[in-house]
Amino acid sequence: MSLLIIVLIVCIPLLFLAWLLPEKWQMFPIAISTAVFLGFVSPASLVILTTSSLITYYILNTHGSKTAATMVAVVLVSSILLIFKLQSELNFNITKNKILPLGISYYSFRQIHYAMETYKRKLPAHSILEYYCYLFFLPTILIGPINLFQPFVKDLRKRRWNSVLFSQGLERILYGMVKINVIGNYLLTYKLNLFCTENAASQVWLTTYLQVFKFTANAYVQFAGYSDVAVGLSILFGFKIIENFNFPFLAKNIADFWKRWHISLSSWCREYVFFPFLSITRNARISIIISMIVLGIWHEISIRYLLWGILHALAINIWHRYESTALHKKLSKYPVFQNVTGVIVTLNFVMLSFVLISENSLSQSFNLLQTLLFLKR
Amino acid sequence: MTYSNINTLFEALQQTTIRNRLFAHINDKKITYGQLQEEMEKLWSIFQKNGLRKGDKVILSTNDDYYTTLFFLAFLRYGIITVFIDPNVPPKRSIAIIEKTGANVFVMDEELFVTRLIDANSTAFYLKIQAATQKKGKLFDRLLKNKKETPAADELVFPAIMGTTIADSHAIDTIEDEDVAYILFTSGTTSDPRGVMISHSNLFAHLHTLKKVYALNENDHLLNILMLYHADGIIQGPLLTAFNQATWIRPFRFDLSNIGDLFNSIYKYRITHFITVPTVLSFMNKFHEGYEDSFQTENFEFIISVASKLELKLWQDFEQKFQTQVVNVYGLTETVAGSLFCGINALPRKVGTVGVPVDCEAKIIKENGEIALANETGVLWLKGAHIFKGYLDNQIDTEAVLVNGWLNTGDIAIKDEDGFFYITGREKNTINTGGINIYPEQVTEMINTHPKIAESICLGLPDENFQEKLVSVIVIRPDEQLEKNDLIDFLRPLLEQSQMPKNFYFFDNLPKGLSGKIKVNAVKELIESTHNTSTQSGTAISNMIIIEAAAEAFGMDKNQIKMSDNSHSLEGWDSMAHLVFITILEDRLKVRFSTAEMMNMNTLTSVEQIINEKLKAVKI
Amino acid sequence: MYNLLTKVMAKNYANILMFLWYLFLLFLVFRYSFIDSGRFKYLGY
Repeated sequence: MSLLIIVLIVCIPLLFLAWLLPEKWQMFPIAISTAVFLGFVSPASLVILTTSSLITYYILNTHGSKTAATMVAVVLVSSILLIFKLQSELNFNITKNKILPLGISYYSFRQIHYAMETYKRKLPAHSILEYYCYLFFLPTILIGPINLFQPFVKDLRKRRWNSVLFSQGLERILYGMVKINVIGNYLLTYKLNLFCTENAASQVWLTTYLQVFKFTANAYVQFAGYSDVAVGLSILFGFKIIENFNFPFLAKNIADFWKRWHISLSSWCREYVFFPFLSITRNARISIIISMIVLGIWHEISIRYLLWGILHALAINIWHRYESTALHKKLSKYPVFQNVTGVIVTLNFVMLSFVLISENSLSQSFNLLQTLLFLKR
Repeated sequence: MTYSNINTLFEALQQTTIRNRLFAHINDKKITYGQLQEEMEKLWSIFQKNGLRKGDKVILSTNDDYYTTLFFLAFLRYGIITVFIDPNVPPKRSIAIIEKTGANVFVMDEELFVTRLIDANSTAFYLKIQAATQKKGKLFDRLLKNKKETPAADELVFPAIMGTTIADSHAIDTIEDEDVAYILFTSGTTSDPRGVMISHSNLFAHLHTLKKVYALNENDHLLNILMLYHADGIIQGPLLTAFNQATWIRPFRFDLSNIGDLFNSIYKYRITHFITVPTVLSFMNKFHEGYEDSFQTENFEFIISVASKLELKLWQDFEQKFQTQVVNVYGLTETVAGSLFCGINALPRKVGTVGVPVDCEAKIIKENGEIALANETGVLWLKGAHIFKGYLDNQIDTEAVLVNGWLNTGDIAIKDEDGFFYITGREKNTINTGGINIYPEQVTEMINTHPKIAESICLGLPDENFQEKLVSVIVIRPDEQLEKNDLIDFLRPLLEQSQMPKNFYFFDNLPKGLSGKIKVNAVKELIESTHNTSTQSGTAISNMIIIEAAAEAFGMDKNQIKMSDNSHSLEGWDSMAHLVFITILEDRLKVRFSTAEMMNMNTLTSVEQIINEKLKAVKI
Repeated sequence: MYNLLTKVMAKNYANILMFLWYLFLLFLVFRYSFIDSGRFKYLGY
């Protein structure tokens, strides 16, 4: 929360600069303040981002073979990410203090996206300054979304003052803050928690269920709130960036859920993990499992996130299998029934899956699951 | 707020409320109406001092877009006749044009005085335009340079001379309706160029029409990046803008590498009307990825397609892909700019036609001289206040096309039951490539001057992007050798860029009729027989295969799928179905897609593109 | 939401209502800003 407030405060003078300076200077204050911000909050992150992007840009734009250059860039960026993720896990266990460089999960994936798009030859002509503006973009540096390079450059070149858009941005930020503070912190974390602890003794199953709901709903509301602020801030600067959520709890099936939840990450995994593996293995099921594992351990390298990813991959595969059965076709004649049950089943599955990652240890998670599934009284 | 002539138009522009408004945004330069006025008045004082007066003909030829505009508007205002010569016109033709007009006043880029062999001392008046090549931040260089290159005291160098001139708005002659406004050379041969004379009344009658059909007002922003030495650039650009006290946007010249910027400029500059040619639309249609929403801004009204035939398929594809409206305009240099309009809200609309005549009459005359009924083919004739005065000093040609106020357009047309006109062909021998008219005889004339060439003919072949392309068919003298590159080097100084043939075909002899005239159609067949013409039908087949495969993979009906669809617009296109789709395509086409290819196949058009490249590679 | 409001009432009233709505939300945000959920693990930072 406090980091978000700092970002918001830094953005106020930046906004004046970003609209009042001569056009060609408008972007530099944002990039420079992002660097300064990173330098204060997480110096390691500043060093990593600056050097890794310099190296990858140089390799990708000067090396003759795009395939080799992409391989080198992707391997380089993902090993840096991997090393820090692993190390932070070790530290986590020892000191209970996570020192993962700020924003590394997001900007590493942005760099890989950039490398892969270079490989696909889908990038417009651009300068290194534009690339740096993209990576050092304050609104998305903290908690994503993993916004894409092409739309960013497009907006960079076409942006102009637009009062309608600006007020939309302000509104978005306000709604985001309401989600984080009022719904997430107050209603879910505080009020619902209070209710649960008061009734924990008498209503074991209900309160357990509500606790699980609380975690899932809070995860959504908090993350969507942060994303709203990021999207809103970007709009204030004249950039429309990718939406991260699209009412995920209304998903009619698990495949649909992943088109609505953390969209920037799931589409990243589809583009850069699923499709490459699909073209190599020609096996969609395996490719789904691999991409969901990547998606899972992106959050944190641990057994529980690994299991969580596999569980979702299995669910998606089961859904695809079911989709081609006669039963599904028959039920399609009753769309209301099918949709309502679909939404309920999907939401509950998602909630159950979150039990895996909400608890501090796997044994606690299994305890909870036993309670929920009436396996334990 | 309409102005019947140049006098009232510029009196209105004097108002203080207008002076601060932006007239034009050219490259990085912003010019307000006030600045325009002031610079025009300075020019007036220069003209007066040098004895330039109403009715004089001035050769205007500069690469600077703003100076072209400034001088043209100033000449209009003060009754001086502008003779446009594109700075890229090769010397031989320019000299012929200068001779033809008898003009003795020159406003041209410095170097053109050399290539066009103009002796400044023998002219009545001249202004040399110096290109502003100095870059900002090189102050030191500039200081040094200026010292070295200070022109002779009596030399008139523009824009330097503007610094020492005081604006003057006195003793301006009143312009009469029948005064000639400008002369544009479009056709004729190199040795006998033909200049179209447009009078002030022609011009203003047509400005009224354009204002009316486009419903323009002072808040509009017109994007026009067409060449200013063509009517669609200069008239439907700066002049139409000034006439409406609107703003003209010309941030760059068109170039394939800035297609993205072209899309972006719609939003960035709050464009309301985008005036362009079908070739540009065709490229935009091709490189659309990520720009589909470019015209969805609060200001944008419609696209105005001018200068050449807008093919039905491009028109429909474009409107569907970008969810915007394209207006088709038919006109000639002889009609100022337009005549028939199709697709504007207030008018009836039929895509694929040139629409209906506005503020003019149109008739179709059959070969036997009778007026054509509905759906009968004939030559299109036009009559109206905007039809030109005639060709400069060329009574014979003028009488050939202007009969009782009716202009013979030389285009073959059909009118349907609803009164919509279709242009189906051409009687005159011209080729329209990317909106520019080329007269093949001019090119043939130049090619035949090569000593090793026995005979040749230039003709137009259909082209996907440029509508038509110019090709040259050549017979070399016996026992002679001629390399294509040598020929191009030979032609470069003789031809304009657009006049250079795109292909050269060498044959031992050419099919001729009894009279010894080369048979154009037989030559075309000859060329076709040397080509592998299967590409055209190949595209159609792969489109069907793609749609069929998509229908099967995504569990949809074929009719529900359009080539403009992508992985977001089709419900069934998820990651699982993607594999099915690709394997179906691989099976049917007997190819295997690589990782990069599979990753790029997220729209049906990209699938088509990849398949076409793949099949081409297989063939080779 | 603004579009919905303007359908039901005059633009002026809709403007005022929207303004009040934003004020109310701002109040809520500040009212509950004391509760800190801490660094939220799922966010991955």
